[in-house]
Amino acid sequence: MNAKIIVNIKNAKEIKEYQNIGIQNFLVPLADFCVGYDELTVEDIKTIKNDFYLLINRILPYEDLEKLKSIFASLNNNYLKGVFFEDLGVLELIDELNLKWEKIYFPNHFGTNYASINAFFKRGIDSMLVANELTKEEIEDILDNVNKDVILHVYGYNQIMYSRRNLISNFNNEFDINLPLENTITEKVTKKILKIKENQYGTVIFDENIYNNLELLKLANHVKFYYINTSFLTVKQIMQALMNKRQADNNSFLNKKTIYKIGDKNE
Amino acid sequence: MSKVELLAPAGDLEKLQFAFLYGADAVYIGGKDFSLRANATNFTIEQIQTAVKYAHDLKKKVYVTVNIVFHNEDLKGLKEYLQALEKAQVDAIIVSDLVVIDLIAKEKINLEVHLSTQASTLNAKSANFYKKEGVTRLVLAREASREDIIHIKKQTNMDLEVFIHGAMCTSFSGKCVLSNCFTNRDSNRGGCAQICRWIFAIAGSDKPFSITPKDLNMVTYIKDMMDIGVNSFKIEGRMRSIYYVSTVLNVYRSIIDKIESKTITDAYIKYYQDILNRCANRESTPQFYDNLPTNKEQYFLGRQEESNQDFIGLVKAYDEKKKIATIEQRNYFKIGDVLEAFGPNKEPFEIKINKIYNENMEEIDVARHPRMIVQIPCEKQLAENDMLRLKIFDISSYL
Repeated sequence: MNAKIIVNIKNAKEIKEYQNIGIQNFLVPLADFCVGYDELTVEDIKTIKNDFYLLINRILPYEDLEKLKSIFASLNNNYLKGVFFEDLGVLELIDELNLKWEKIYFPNHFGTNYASINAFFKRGIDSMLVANELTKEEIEDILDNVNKDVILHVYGYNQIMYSRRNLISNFNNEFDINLPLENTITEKVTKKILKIKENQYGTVIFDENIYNNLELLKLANHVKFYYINTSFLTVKQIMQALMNKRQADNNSFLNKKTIYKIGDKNE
Repeated sequence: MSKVELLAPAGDLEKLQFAFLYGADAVYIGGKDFSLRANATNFTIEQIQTAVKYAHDLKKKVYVTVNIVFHNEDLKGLKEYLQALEKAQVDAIIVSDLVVIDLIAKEKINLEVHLSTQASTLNAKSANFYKKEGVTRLVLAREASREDIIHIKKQTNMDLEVFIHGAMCTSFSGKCVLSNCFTNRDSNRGGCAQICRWIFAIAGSDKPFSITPKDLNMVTYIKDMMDIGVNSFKIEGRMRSIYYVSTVLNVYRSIIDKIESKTITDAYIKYYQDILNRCANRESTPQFYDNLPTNKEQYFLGRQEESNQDFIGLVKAYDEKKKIATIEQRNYFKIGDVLEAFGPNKEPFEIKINKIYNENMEEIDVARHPRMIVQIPCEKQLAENDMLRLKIFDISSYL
């Protein structure tokens, strides 16, 4: 198994299960500081006796950054290697508290060129997620030109929208019903299906088609981690995917360049 | 001069001129490249130079959006473009990607930098990250609450620009690639196909599932936002019409001026709300400022909006002696219609259409052709670029 694969876990027990299939790097979504993930509470996290990284992927108002201070203090042990974050306020907080963790910028859709990534590296970021709306050629170009190692999303459902709104709860309230906060929606014309997941901090939409970018595992230069988003998937499904035994839908952009302007379509 | 800036969108030179005329202190515009709203008309460098000269002659400002999220291929030509903007003496650029800030520092390009709402700034610590980079103004995330704004102002003392009116993204700005997935159009490079306005079905219900937000409207909170230190009030809509932009500006200019002259009343606020809602054909609410949006801030069962033909005409000239206005028709009107004139620095007033003349000064009953030139008698003075709309709301009934 590739030693640089990292997976998000849904509970502490999964670590052992992933270790059994050779995965050694773990990302732990922190309860109340994530959207779109199954999260672990601080107490759950304290039971982990393996090296791990913490995930904080919400955009945070100031009062939540204040709460993070005490949480960081309680989790400051030898197992916590670093923090993946979406909000640059977390970077500032880690620096302010002089915590010696790896600082990993994990923005959705923003790591799209090598110059920006290098600019973040100059400002104390240790690693950064490369966006996955990029072609393989664009990703290779990034890997050839970055100054530190980056993170590539290689498999799993892809988060394609993050809203602060409670979209399912609002629907439930409007029609006085009680649909589950993890659901699927289907666009009326295209019939495209999306997964939707809400917690009190917002709503995330995922593409129903699994992004299978496992061919990126062949790109080794300047890669810190190959990230697998395990949300909605079992350990067994991940293992099957890695053994190329799972016929996953592939809706990646590796061979599908996005259009900048409508006119570009005809060029 | 007002202490707070009223900032308007301008999709082209004509809209820019109307924006300034109707009370904007500054406009934001996009170049042909590197700007979200990639499919708007946008400005060439030469047009940007013209726009800046025009604005500066009026002692007003022009900000240029350089706010796409860059791909490798987009980096080509960026330095030269930024140098051209410096030469054009634009008042600031609005950016979301750190690469632009980095390049400006590296190449010692003299441009003031404002951070785009695409950066989703919601707290003072992330604001400080950019303050250290020389960013002077934050365009806050549309999700910022009153408390967030107060806190950021207090902790950073940076200039704060806040959206007060217009369309909302369902997502945090920049945190959505629905458009990429559905249409292959890159939302973070200006190609957003507004998938969040489409209708979905959700498992477990036969009701249409909508994620569409109503528009933003901060009329009721303008005074409060001035009190907590917001520096710039931003109106969304670089692709909107001159009628929309002029109407919205006219309303917010009036509100700000009335607040500063201490003549604002609840009656005016209610009247302005009605004007704005009618103009956009969409419902609008304060969204995140006072509360987390509920079902009341979203559209369900499709969008309850109807287009209207309220914009009747644009005043091209006014003959003070004859008391005749020359009008470029924009929508059908006829003898007997009751219209309302509005314009910069004037309270709206009623015009009853008793006569219409065509270009040959022949009486006609109806102006039915788009952009036809007609003349109408009008006792009160009008000015070029005033506008006529159907009279729907009567201010006297509010007071």
